[in-house]
Amino acid sequence: MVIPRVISPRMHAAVLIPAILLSLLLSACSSIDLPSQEESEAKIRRLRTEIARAEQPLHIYERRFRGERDAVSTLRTDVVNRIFGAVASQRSDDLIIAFPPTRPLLSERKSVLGIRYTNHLDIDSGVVTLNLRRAELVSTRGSALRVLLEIEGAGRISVSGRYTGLPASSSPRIALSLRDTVSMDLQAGKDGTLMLVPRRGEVMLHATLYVKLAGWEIPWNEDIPLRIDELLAPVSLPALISTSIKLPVPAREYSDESYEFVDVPIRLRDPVLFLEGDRIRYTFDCEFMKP
Amino acid sequence: MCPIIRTPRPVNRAETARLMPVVLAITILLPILQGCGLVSSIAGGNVDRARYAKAREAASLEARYLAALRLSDRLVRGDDPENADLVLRLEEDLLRRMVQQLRGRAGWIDAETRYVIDSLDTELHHGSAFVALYLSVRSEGYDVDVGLVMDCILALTPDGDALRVDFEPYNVSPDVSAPGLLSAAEDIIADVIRVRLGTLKEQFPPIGLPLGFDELVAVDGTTTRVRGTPNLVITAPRRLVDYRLRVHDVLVFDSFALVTVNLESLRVR
Repeated sequence: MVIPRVISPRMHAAVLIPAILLSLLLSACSSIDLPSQEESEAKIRRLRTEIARAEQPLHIYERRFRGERDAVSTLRTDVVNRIFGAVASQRSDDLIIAFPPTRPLLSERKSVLGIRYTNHLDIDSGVVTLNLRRAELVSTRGSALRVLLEIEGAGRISVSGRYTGLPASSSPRIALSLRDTVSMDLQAGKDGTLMLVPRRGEVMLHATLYVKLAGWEIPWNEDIPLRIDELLAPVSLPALISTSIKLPVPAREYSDESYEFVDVPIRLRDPVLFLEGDRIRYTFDCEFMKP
Repeated sequence: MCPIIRTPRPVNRAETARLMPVVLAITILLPILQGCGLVSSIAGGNVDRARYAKAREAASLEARYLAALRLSDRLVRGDDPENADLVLRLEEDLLRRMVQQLRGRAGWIDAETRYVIDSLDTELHHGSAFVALYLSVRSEGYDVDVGLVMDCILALTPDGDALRVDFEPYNVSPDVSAPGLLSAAEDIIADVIRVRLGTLKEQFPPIGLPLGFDELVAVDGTTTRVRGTPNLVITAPRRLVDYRLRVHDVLVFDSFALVTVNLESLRVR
């Protein structure tokens, strides 16, 4: 015979409450924790206000940098000066001037007691190395930079000649110097390079020579015109321009190890280069090509 | 009147044993089945589109708010971006077109779930860049095709000589605009969120934008012959200029991104 036993409501709750809690826990674990629509809407309202407040100080930057083109690369002209400074200071053999024979370098006809003769001085050979002492951007105008150049050097050359009919030779010291301002144009290459190209023009190389040749004392000074566009090569400037992007190659099978990339070329369209205060701005549009 | 005195109703063990499976079924199994989506997936009615859309919007606004605060803080504490040696500004539309190059790209969420990127929608805000990837997902495990939207933060970071554009997923939801949406999407999303959201980034490789941070630029040598008094042969030796640039910051604004770079060192050889 079964004797009925009484189960109190407290005991009933002891079974049911953990069961309900467990069920809710499991239920929550097995689905997505998605807030209710009302909760999300309240959060959206709150965040919109907070975002407006947080973004307020940023609008000034946005206005300052806003532009119309796909990309703009801006370079401080101070960087150009640092590049020139490095070129000037880190090497001392910036120009090497060789003296092939020059016959004559100078000559003078003389007549003594009806005897005519010619004194002449020739350069036979010699090499002088010049050091770029200073290269500095001094002003900008349009798309051109005016750059002050100071180059100097000295060395010995071999000279020979005749003085009062007597042959003689010597190795005098020659000093060469150049101090001039040259114009360099900013040019943009198709590959996104930014170049400083010397504008056609002349600069003067000043040469000073003092020769003593068999009693003939010759102070010689000459300003030698040089074409600066032939003397200096274009200089590349850093521009941060890319002419391709790297895209991941579609994965044939599942892997979390490594990816392969393929280059997608970018064509730069309608590049415009201009100076604005102490900034060089390079603006362009981009067109993605097929890899 | 006699007061009514309620006394506990006696319950015998047999009755309890008989009721227990029913109680268990109601309190445990049903919520589990509802929650895991099996029942509702069969019913096809468990995708609450409006609820997903609002949750998605709230999630992106939260990320946007935090990013705007961070950007504001960085600009207040740090240098003006205009003081950098070089500044590259990339317009939002350019970044959008760059990211859209991934359209049609296939990949894998896991070994059983393949995706194809149908479209991408990029948005820049102050401090943050977002991209929504609209994916066609084929799950072999569930034997279904579903449309998913994966919301990502676009992280722009320097990586060697390139600017790296990473996708950081923060939200996955059914693509409510996709035709023929299956309710099984919720199960896949649940899997993705619970199991793999943290590592999902690995299945969406970055885009690289090479920028030439370390450049060795040759300045050609020249030789000039001067015929005159005196004759000269002037040689300017070839030079190698070694620029070393370092990214100072990558800042995202409402309609563009700025990459600020400083010239770290410069050697002439």
